[in-house]
Amino acid sequence: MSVRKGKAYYARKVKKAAHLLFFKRHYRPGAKGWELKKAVGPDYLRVLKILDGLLRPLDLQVKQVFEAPVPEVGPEIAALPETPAESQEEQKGRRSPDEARYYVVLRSTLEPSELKYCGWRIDDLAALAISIALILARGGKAPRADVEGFLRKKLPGWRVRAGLERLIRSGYLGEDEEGMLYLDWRSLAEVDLKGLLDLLSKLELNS
Amino acid sequence: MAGGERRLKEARERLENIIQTCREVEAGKLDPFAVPVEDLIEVIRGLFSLWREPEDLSLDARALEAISGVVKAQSEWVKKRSTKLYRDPFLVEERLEALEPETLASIFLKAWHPIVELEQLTLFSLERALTYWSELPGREEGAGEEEGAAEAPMLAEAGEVVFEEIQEALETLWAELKEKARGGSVHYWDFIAGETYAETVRRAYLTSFLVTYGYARLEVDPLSEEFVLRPRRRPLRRPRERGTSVVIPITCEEWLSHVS
Repeated sequence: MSVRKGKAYYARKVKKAAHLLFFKRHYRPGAKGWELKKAVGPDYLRVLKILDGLLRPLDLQVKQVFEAPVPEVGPEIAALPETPAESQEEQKGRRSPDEARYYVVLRSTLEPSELKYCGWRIDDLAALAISIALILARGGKAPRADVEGFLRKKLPGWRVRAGLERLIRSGYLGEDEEGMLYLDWRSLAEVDLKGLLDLLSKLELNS
Repeated sequence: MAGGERRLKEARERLENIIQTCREVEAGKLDPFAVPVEDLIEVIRGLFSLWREPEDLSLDARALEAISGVVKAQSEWVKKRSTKLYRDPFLVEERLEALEPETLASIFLKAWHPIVELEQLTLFSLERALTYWSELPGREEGAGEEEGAAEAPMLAEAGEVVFEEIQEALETLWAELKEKARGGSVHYWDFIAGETYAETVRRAYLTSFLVTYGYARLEVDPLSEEFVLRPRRRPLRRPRERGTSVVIPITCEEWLSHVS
């Protein structure tokens, strides 16, 4: 039996969810599904959907990201079933939304002229693009030495090492004990990996 | 009888070869689809009637198990290539090599949706910062109130080096920079590289203060895209432009490449 909830009920919950997603409380921004469930209630997916709708005019969206062990990016929040309970049948064989992490990300993309607002240089962004594409091409992991070697072909040597360290510190890349680089949480949350590879492939067709 | 023995020996060798080939596939040395699985199974089936000894039957079982490893490798190959993120690695690397950093950055921008996050200063973090600051050596009550103390380099504040010594070293290095730059600029590494690695680190460290305290400007040469140092005629006491932090790794390898 479903109970119809009023506007005030959801308005309160949407505010709470927005606070959790926007304000950085720990090392990582955003909030885990189980955190939202605890703070907002079991219908947190419905609340996130409402928040997503409110953020749309601001060119922002709520994004669901599944992290380790499989780098799987969730669908748009609008496409999700509203509550985990409602979707138990559909969820068979899939991961629970409580395990995912939810972020607020830019819905569209930035213009090159807007980069300076975020403190990014063209070279840094190119280094990130190369590292991500190379790691994806190698099946999810690539030796750091290979990535550094590749970056040196494109960028001044002194910038390569510092640049990679910055990407690791900010969570775009991770490095395991064997010196292998992999895509870390921020790449999974911010980058449309399939889109990036498609764009690279398409460019080949045009050139 | 001797012919039968020879036939048995040859049959065992064939099985050993099959096992070896399959192991190479499992180790990733061979393409899993380069191995004709059905033909190998036919061979194993044909040889089965020869086996009498338990060792031979065990060898037969090992060969079959090795073939199952090839089938598994084939299945993984198909699975990996059927994922949405699979692209031919050679194609991707070729593309990356051919494209300029500007083009790569503009492609990346079309696939990048940065996270929006807010960082806030809480009363708790303010309190922690205040405690940290007040516990720094030389920051006890009353200290640091004299004029000019705020401009003293950090090491002097920490009480490790006498301020006058650093000031003198900075003045000397500044004079050297002005001489080398001859009214223009000098490449950062050409300036800091010393005869030893330790000397290079010392010069880099002092140079960072030259820049921080307005004795010189750190710029990027648009042609070589390398850092250059441009000395000022007199130190800039109150910087007009907003300062930014630049990280320059001073590794031993980099130093060796500059002195060799």
